[in-house]
Amino acid sequence: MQKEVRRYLLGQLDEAEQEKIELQLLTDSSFGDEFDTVVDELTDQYVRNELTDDERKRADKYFFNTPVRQQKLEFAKELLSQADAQRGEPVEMAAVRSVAQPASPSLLDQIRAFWRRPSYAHVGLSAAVVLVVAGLVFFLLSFGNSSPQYTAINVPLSSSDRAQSIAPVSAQLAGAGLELELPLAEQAKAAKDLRLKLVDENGVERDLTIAERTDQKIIVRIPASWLSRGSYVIQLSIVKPDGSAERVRGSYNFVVE
Amino acid sequence: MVTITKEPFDALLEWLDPDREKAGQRYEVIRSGLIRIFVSKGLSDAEHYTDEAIDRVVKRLPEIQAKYVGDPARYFHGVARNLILEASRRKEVAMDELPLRVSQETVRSDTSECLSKCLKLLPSDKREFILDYHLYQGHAKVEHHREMAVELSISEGALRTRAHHLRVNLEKCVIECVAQSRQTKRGSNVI
Repeated sequence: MQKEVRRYLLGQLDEAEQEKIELQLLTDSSFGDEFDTVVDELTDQYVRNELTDDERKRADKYFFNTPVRQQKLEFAKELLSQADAQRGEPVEMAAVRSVAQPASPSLLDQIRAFWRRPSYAHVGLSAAVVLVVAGLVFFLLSFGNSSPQYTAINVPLSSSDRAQSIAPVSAQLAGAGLELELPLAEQAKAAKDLRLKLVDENGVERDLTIAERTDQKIIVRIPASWLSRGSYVIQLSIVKPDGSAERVRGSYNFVVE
Repeated sequence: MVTITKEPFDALLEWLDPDREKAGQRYEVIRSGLIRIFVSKGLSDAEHYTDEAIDRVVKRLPEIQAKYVGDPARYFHGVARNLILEASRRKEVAMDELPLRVSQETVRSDTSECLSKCLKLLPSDKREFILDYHLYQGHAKVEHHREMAVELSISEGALRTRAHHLRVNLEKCVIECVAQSRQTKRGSNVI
C-alpha cells in the first residue's frame, strides 16, 4: 500500500486507483498515519536527493505545490541537517584517494607511523616523495600499467548507537572499482575467520573476498561491474569454528555517486 | 469559515452512525481524510475546502438521508471531487512549479532556530531517537532502522510509527514557534 500512496502523491495513479486511496483515507482511521509516514519519507528522499529525475520533477509538480508541503520541506531540510550535524562526524566526501594495486599495508602503516612522529625530516621526505611519485606517474604513463586502478576509500564502522553513528562515505566510481579500507571492531580483531557481505539498495547480496588484513583493518576490493549509483552496506560476520557466522554489530555504509 | 449549527450537525452524525461515539470517530476520520486529499490535490487552503465539503453535505442531507444507499464516506468523496474540479477551473490549483517564496533565507533561519528550540524541549531519549531515526539514506537507512528496532525490542513498524508521532509533534512545535517568531518580528517593525 505504501507504494500506491507514493504513486498517488507523485500523480502516477489513474482515476480509479486514486479513488481507492481517497476512500481509504475517508474510512480507515489508521490509514491516515500510514499516508502521512509516506509523505514524510518522500519529503526526506527529496531532501537527500534520493529520487530519480522523473520522481523529482513529479514531486515539484504534484507534491510540493501547497504551502503545507513546502513547510514540511523546510522542516525536513532542517531536521535532516540537524540529525547529520549531531552525528559528531561530518559527511565524509574527502576520504577518497587513488591508488594502484598491489599496495603493501605494512609499508602504509610504517609511513603513517612516520608521519605521526614530529620531525623536520618530513619536509625533506615530502620533496623526495613528490619526486618519486612524479617519476612513478611518468613511468606508468610511459610504459603502461596493466594492474587495475581502484579508488580507495576509508569506510568507518557505523553503529546504531548515536554516539558512534557515522555518515556514509561517498565515492565516485572510476577505474577498476573501489578499494575499501574497513577498520575492525574490537570483537572482530581476534577472530580467525571473517566474512563480508555487500548488500545493495535492492537487497542483493554478494560475498566479498578479503584482499588484505592487519590487526586493525581489512581491505576489500569491489569490481566496478558490481557497483552502480546508490547506497551500499557491508556486513561483517565472525566465522565460528563450527562454521556458523555471528554478525558484528554495525555496518560499513557507503554511497556510490 | 463555515459554521454548522447543532441540529444539522447532529443529523450528520446520526447519518454517519447511530452510535454517537462511533459517529464522532467517523466524522474525524472523514475530516482529516478530506484535508489530506485537498492538500494532495494542490489546494492551498485545504481546511477551508474541507469545511466547504462538510457544509455541502450537511445542506443536502435532508434530501439524501432517506434514499442514499452506501457508505456516507463515498458521498463525501464525490463532493470533494467536485470541489477539486471547481477549484481547478478557477485555476486555484498550483499545477506547475513551486510558487516563489518571499525569503528563503528567513524561512530557513526561522525553521532552524525553532527546530533547535523544540528539540531542546524534548526529553533527551526522544531527542536522540528522532535524530537517530533520520540518519542515512537508501539501504543504509533501512539497515539502521532494523538495528534500532532490535535495540529497542520493537518491530520495525512500531519504530516507524513511534518516529512518525514524534515527528508530527516536533513539526507542530516548529510551526507554532515560526508563526510566533514572525509575529514578534512584525510587531517590532511597527512603530
